Amino acid sequence: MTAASSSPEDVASKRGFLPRRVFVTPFTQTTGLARWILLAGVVLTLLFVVAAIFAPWIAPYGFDQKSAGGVNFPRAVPPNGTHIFGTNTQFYDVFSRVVWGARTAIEVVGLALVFALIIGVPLGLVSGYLGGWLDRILVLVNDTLFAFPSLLLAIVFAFLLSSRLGGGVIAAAVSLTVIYVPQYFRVVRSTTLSAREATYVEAARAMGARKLTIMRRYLFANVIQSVPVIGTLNAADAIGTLAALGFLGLGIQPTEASEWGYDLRRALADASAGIWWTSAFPGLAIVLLVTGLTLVGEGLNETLNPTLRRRRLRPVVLPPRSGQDSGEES
Amino acid sequence: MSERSGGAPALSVRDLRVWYGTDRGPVRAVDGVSFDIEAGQTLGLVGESGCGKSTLGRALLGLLPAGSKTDGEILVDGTDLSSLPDKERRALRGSRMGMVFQEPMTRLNPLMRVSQMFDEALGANEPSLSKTERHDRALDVLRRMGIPPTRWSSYPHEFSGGMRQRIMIALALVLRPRFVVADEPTTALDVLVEAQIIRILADLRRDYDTAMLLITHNLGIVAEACDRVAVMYAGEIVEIGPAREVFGQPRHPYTRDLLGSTISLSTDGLRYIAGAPPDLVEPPPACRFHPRCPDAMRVCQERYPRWTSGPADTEAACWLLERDQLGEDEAAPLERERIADADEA
Amino acid sequence: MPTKPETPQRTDVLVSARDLEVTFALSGSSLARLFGRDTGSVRAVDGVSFDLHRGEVLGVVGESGSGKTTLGRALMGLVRATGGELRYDGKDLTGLREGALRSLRTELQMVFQDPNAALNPSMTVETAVGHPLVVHRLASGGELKKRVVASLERVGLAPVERYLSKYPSDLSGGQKQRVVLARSTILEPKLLVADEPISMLDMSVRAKILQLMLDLRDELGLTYVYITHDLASAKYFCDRVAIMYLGRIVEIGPTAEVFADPKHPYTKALLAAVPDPDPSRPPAEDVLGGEIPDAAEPPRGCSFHPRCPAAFDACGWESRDLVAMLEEHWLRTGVDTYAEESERISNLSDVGDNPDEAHLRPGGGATSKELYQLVERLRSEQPDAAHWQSVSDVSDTGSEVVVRYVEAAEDPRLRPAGEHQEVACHLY
Repeated sequence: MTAASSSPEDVASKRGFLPRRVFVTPFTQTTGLARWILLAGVVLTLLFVVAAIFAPWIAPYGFDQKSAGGVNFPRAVPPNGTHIFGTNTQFYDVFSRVVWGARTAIEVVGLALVFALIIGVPLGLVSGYLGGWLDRILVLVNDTLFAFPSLLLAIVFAFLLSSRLGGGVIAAAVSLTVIYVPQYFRVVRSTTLSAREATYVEAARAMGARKLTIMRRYLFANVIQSVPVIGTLNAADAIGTLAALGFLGLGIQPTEASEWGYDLRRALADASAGIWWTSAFPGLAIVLLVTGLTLVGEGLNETLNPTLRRRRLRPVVLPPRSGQDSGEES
Repeated sequence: MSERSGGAPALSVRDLRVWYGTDRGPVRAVDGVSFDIEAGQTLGLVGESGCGKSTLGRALLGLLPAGSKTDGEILVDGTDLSSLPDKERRALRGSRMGMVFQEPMTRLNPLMRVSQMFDEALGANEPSLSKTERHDRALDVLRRMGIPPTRWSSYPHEFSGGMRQRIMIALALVLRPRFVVADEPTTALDVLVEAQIIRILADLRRDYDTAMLLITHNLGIVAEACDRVAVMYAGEIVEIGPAREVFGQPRHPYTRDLLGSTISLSTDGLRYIAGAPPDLVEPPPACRFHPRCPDAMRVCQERYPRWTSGPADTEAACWLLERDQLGEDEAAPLERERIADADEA
Repeated sequence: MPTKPETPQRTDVLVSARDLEVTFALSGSSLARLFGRDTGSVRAVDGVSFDLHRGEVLGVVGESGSGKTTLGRALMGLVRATGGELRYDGKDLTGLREGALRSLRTELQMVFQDPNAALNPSMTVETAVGHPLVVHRLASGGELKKRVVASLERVGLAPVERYLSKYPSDLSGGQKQRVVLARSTILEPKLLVADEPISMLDMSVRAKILQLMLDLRDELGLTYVYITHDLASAKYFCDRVAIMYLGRIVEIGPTAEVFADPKHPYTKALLAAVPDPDPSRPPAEDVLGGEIPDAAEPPRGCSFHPRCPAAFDACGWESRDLVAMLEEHWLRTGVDTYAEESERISNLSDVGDNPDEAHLRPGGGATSKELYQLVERLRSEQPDAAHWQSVSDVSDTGSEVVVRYVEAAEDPRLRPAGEHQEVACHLY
């Protein structure tokens, strides 16, 4: 490559290892829209993460609390001073339900993502690197799972698991995991397939490294680069699926935790009676969190994906020629 | 630099600067470069990677990325390209100026037959030609490039790398531009194919009246295909002149060391230039080569060297050539730290 | 490194290859794959034999497609030989699985063409250089660090502290290649296969890296296989060179002899094509035309014959050479002749599968007699051309014109020529 050090691409391409790339460079190297998308997404998502972590302090009441200080809550009162989001027809405080619901959502989705990563990434790596019959079988299984509508799959698993794991957070997370494993598997397998041909992998073979070492030390860090992007986009999708499960009554049981989808279902009949707050607030929470996560995913994609990235360039002012340079012109 | 007598040169560059903005400050990729190329003449542009060769080539065609700033003059038949608005300049690309890139594989549209490419290029730039005229002209250029007429309607993937590069050159020449910039046209090719392409480029000088800037890191190619050569270092031209003269008797230490570090069939010992080209955000003061120059004197880091003419129309900017005009103090050897072995490009 | 007891049968030969073959299956079109049809194969290395002596630098020179890189990978056991025999230090490596080769990896190492790709982008210099020791469980902790430092110093990356914690993306091309060399010499191997180690580097760095490789050879007593397309560096660097063309060695011998007196026409052409910056050197004569043919369908007989300026009738001429001859003829005569003459042939792209006979069918309203006259005219224009010399008979069957070729001689094998050279050419 000629004039390498003099082109802006190369000056800026001093990229580092993964953590630095994912968490720092998106903010330092983005321009305009991509930056705002990322920022808005992070703010929205953080809002819910904070609500989830500090739910016991933020929510005035428990998620299944119908009375405070011996006084029963009124039924279906509109937002007011004591119940800022009002109460629903089951005497619950809507604001508390929404905040506790954030905790449930983050817990379930977080767990589901971790499970999916733990299963999907190694399978993709092994399948892509080793190939052969194992690869064929895994691809077949994953493509089959992929072919099902994700909600249908989640329903089936939630139904099957409810008898064994109960209707709690773990059961919901496992049903979601089944949907997302094929996605990680696919992405990691395809990046492994191309990374497998890289010279540094051949160099590792020439060095005498075992297959496991090659996968662990040479492929892993280089094939998981696209995972953060799919991770956040999956999380957004998972929020929706979880709510849909709850809406169908298959997700988390009301006795276990507060769940937005379940609340929406209970509020279905209220809308015609003019009780808007019982459905509006959980619904809004779903929309905002899904939007936030999607924005983070898109923002990360734009900054981590080199084909979409546009780097920040500084304006140049050409100074007038100095006297020294005059020797150059004749 | 050299104002030649006679008609105006096909391409004349005066004091061209191309700077890029980065977070660390502007990169002075091309910093005050002047040269002329006559019609039918080839100027070789050599230097290490990172000296601004490619940037210069792209600047001539106005193909620079966003965030760069250019000044100086690029005169083609007396018209200053750099003063033209982008749209007019784009219209001149192809008809008045052409470019041949390094990777012929990626520069040809894989979904187009070769005949269609030529038809489109000629149709867009010379609408007055009839269909048969377009056909004949394209076929004639391809024939000169050694592409058999039987392959005329094949797709790019059906050609070998060397053939694709021939097609690229033919595409650049079919519009009979005033000048062509060829950026490392043979780097990706094999020895024999490279020799074929060099031969074609050398013959072009006779067959077409096109001025060519041939950017390469291979000094052997310059010796075989170029009339004149310009040696570029750290964004500046340090020596320019007829290729025979410059390579036969290099006057600038950089040219000399560049020739010395080239491994050729007559190499009997390995020599190299210590260090690497400087960071063009903060190039060394005065003569930019002084930190690596084995002959550096004290004056070299204080005052800018002047251009001096040598035999047979060569010119170089180096204080060694004006040593007799320096005081004893200025001519004393420059004391520097030794450059570590691994400080390299 | 512990020194091994000398084995009694130890000889001077470190590596010996006999009729080594590497064949790859072609993937073919997706449709063919879907129906499981046989899609053919490519013989990337096609019967290569040589001996590599201890401490020697053997250059393997060829263009891309000559099989030189595959040969290098076969020597490293990175691709499995499909035929012939490969011995390393007396041990037969042919057909060994990668796992079985693992213990040998401490003695065999490789340097790659592209230093930018040869290093794991997410490993620091320290980890990367020390990894061979870790992989073979030869050192850890302080001992590991000590040896990494020593290896980096050996390749000139000093002061070491400046480089230990760097990632490949922080280094220049030359520095990366030094790191690759440090990694491949940390086990103090016996054989280093270097696949175009300097061709991707900036020209001012090439001489430095080549010098470093020479220093490493002296220091560690290495034996090199130097794979390159660059004759100039091979001439300086190698003790012996093997010139490869389409999977075969066409000439092998001591560097000085091969360069002073090249025997094979291909070697001669390669040497004449090297551009030289020396202005006093006379400009090259005629440059050899054409390119390396497709290895999936190698030419009959000597695979160099279609391009060979010295070819004669026994070199293996066949039916498809007729098409090449016609193309060349039209290239010479111009657009108008092409328009007129190509009309008369309807099947230029398919002259039949039989290499002994080319079948030309008339087209564009021409009769087979006119076509016959055209072929005969072309023949009479160049009666001495090797191609026409090899044509035994041109006949007009009434519906088509058949051009028959004489029987081809066998493939040329490597034969001694000159003092120590061996050449695969019918001329010798």
